[in-house]
Amino acid sequence: MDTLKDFFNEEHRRRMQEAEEIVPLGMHVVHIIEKQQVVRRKTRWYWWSSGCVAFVAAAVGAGFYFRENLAVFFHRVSEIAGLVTGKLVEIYENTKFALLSWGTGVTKTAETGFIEKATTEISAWPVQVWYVVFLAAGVALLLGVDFLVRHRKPV
Amino acid sequence: MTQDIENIQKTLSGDARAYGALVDKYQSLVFVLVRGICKTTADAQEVTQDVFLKAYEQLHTFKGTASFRTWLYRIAYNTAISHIRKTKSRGKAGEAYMHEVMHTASSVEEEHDTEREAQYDKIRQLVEDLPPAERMLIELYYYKELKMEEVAYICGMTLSNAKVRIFRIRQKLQEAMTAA
Repeated sequence: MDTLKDFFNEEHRRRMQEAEEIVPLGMHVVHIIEKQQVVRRKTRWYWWSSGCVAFVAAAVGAGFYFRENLAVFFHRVSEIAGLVTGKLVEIYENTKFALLSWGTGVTKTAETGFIEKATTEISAWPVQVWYVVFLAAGVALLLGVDFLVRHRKPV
Repeated sequence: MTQDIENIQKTLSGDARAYGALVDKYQSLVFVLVRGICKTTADAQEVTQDVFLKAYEQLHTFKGTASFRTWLYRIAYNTAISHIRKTKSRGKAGEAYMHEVMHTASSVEEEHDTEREAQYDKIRQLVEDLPPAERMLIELYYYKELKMEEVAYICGMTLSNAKVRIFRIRQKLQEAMTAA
């Protein structure tokens, strides 16, 4: 076993001698890193710009190709938006009324209370409104998680 | 050590020149480790450079649980193993390395007795014939500056596993040397 130890000691001694002769790599490595960063930035920029151009082209192409379906879709969206806006205005009016009643000391209307009114309102919403609400909530949740992951502090 | 941490933090905050200082400080240690698996000094320099470029890419993963030196050795270990696999597939690079070493040894230290040189050549050949992971393990084990715990960490093994494997490699080498 001493032979093995001697062998590796001898090897290391010889390699150390070689290591002493090599030029410091520090600045060379830094130079390579800086070059790589420039190339990476350029590549990222090219990808983003070509991605944006491709997206716009695809969107314009698809818009042209599906123009009839799009018209129907936008018509439907405007209908739903009108419906939602109407409902929101209604809820706002009811809430305002309930708050005013509460503020003046009158907690219930002649027919029903605020909670009952709100429950009735919400349960009467069409299913499309719920789709939009849940979609918006889902997107907001994903964006929130993405933000937290990107801005997490290094441990 | 504190200086290293300071340089790492500077590097992570965008000062690439602070990394240059780390490279200058540790290049010899990495070079000595990877030299054994490269056929020429220039090759070893290239692998050393690769190690530092990889280390820069992964610097944000350095948690400080081990020293920077040990962490760097771990990257060097993995890079060296990949290099051995690549060169093995390209051909017997080791032979060229052995020739270079033999040539250097004979021209510089002619007074060395030939018997010992022959024995060393035999060991060199046996070490080169080991699988890449075993070869690096034995190199690290005989690397004076490293503790057994560090060797295990670098190779990604438990301490007991590293000890057992080193014992077996040494036994294998010993048997091969006796048989020769």
